[in-house]
Amino acid sequence: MNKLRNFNLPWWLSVGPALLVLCFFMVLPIAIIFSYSLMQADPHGGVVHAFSTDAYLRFLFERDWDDVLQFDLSYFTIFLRSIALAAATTLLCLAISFPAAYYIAGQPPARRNVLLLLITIPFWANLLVRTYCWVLILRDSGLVNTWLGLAGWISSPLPLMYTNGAILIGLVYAYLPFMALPIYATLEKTDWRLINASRDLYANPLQTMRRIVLPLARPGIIAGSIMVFIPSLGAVIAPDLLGGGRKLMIGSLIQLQFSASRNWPFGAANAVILLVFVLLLLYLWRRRGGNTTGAW
Amino acid sequence: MTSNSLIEIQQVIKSYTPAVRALDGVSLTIHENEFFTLLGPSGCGKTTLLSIIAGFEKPDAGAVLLDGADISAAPPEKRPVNTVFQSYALFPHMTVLQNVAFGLEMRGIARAEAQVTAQQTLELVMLNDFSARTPAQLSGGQQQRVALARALANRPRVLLLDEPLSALDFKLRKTMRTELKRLQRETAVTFVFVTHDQEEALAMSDRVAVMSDGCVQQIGTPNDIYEYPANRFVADFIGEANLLEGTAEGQTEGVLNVRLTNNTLLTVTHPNAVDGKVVLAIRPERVLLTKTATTENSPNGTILDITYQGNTTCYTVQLDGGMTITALALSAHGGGGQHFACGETVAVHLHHDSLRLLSE
Ligand SMILES: Nc1ncnc2c1ncn2[C@@H]1O[C@H](COP(=O)(O)OP(=O)(O)OP(=O)(O)O)[C@@H](O)[C@H]1O
Ligand SMILES: [Mg+2]
Repeated sequence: MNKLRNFNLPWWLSVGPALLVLCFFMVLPIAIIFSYSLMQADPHGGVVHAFSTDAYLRFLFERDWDDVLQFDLSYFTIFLRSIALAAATTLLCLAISFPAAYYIAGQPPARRNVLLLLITIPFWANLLVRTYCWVLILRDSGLVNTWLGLAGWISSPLPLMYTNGAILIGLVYAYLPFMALPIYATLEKTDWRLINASRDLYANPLQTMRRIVLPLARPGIIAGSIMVFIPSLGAVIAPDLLGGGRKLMIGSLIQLQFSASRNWPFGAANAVILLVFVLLLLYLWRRRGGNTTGAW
Repeated sequence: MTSNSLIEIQQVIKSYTPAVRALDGVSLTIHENEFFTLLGPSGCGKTTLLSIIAGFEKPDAGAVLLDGADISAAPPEKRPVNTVFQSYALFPHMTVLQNVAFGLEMRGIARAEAQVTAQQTLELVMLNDFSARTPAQLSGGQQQRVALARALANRPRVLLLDEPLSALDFKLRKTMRTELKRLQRETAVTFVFVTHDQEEALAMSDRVAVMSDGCVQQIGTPNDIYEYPANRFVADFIGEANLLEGTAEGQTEGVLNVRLTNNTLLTVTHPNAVDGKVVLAIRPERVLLTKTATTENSPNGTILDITYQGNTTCYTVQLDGGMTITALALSAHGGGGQHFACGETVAVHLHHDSLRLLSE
């Protein structure tokens, strides 16, 4: 820090690039989305430049033929389902990642690197392709149903596709590394002698896990949870391919408004609602004494 | 001191990799209420032996007995043994008080009661005002004392200390030595103390086990191992020693004749008859230099080098026929502290009671 300051760069040169990036990649797009959400929809796509709160009203109400607002929860339900699925994804990722990361961190360094590589390998293939593979596995004529049929355990295919479960599988599969890597990073830094110390002080393996390992891994667990929860809340590919448009999530809903439904303001409003919800969560988390960098 | 045996290590062998044996058949007995020290150079297996007593490592062969019962297979949490780690290993996410109370809580003592005991133990190491801090907010010496309190609070049968003083500065180290001795006396816990500092070992211990290359070389009181080193390694490792090689030439009435390689004939007090090549050891402070020779064991030599060390002065003397010997004497009053001058011829007295015959 101090070293950097010693170069005596003019302030605009040192913070300038960062400000530019923030402006162009964050402030400007969000400003555009926000302003679009308060305009009227052009039925041919795009927006009419006139102020309107219709987009936000539509989230909770439906306008009937007499132009009267009726309470309608169908969009809100999509929102709730998204939150539930994202939360379930986060928990499942945690349940799978923690033991895996714990195991990897306990291996000799050479083996560790191989195992980490294995975790990150799926990253190298396109997410769309990887998710489509799950379609091949889960559909009526897919691997699972074929095998179960051959084994004689089922007579007709199980309805695996186009369910919340299918979406959940896709999401967990897509975001698992985002949970595993930060947890691994904190566990790897942990002094293993602390575990010996805990056992020495009469704690059995379970107590050692609860009192020593989990608290020390907390920063990684928090970072991983944030990195899984937020993107899976807005995910598009898994719900589209595996939910087949029957089980919409908020990400697909937004995408739909900008494409087929041609209602840009409503899409923008949904994006704003999602953003505000996430910021609110983070804010509540911090106020509760936690913090996003995860220090205890 | 009672001499009931508390811990018995029987023929313990341990290798981490097939090629190297960290412990190569170690046997020793540690008595109740004893301050027992494991002393040896880096890598000789001291930490490994502690880990086996604590239960972090399982011996490949051999057994560890506590009160006569084999505990070799018991996990660490089932042993009435606590460790002060070389690295302290304090729990960074707990306060000092929580650290010290941890062991008590894990043994099922109610939190409130555990914290009272913890606070009392912190008083014992004079850290009662620091209980609310976290380990990161303490100095190295304070952390070390927390580690000590955390282990002692459980009143274990045996306290294992792995080079607990090595990270401290010289002054603090001296204070902590007395402190540890006091704690051991007050708590009546058996201490097994690991160090590679021989001065520390001699100053603090009831008994010392000298180790090298995974083997115990000698076990005895500090005085025993200093005055009667069992072999060349011990004589060389503990303090300074002049090692003189020669051949045994017959024994009469407890006195052995040894002819050194430079042809000097020495007599040594030694009970048994010995044949062939032998090594004699004598401490520099036992070597006496005079201007004139007397009857026996006083070959002539020339002073090669003089090192003034304040309270003592060290003389390097070349015996006639090659072979150098170091003599240590209290510094003289005048004459720059020196009794002799460089190049002067002196008689080197090697008293037959001060010479020790070593096994190789
Ligand atoms: N976990 C391990 N894996 C492989 N080899 C080990 C391991 N721990 C120790 N060793 C080896 O076993 C031998 C004994 O090690 P140990 O730690 O017991 O030595 P020490 O006497 O405590 O040394 P120091 O005074 O440096 O602490 C050494 O040769 C060391 O390299
Ligand atoms: Mg060691």
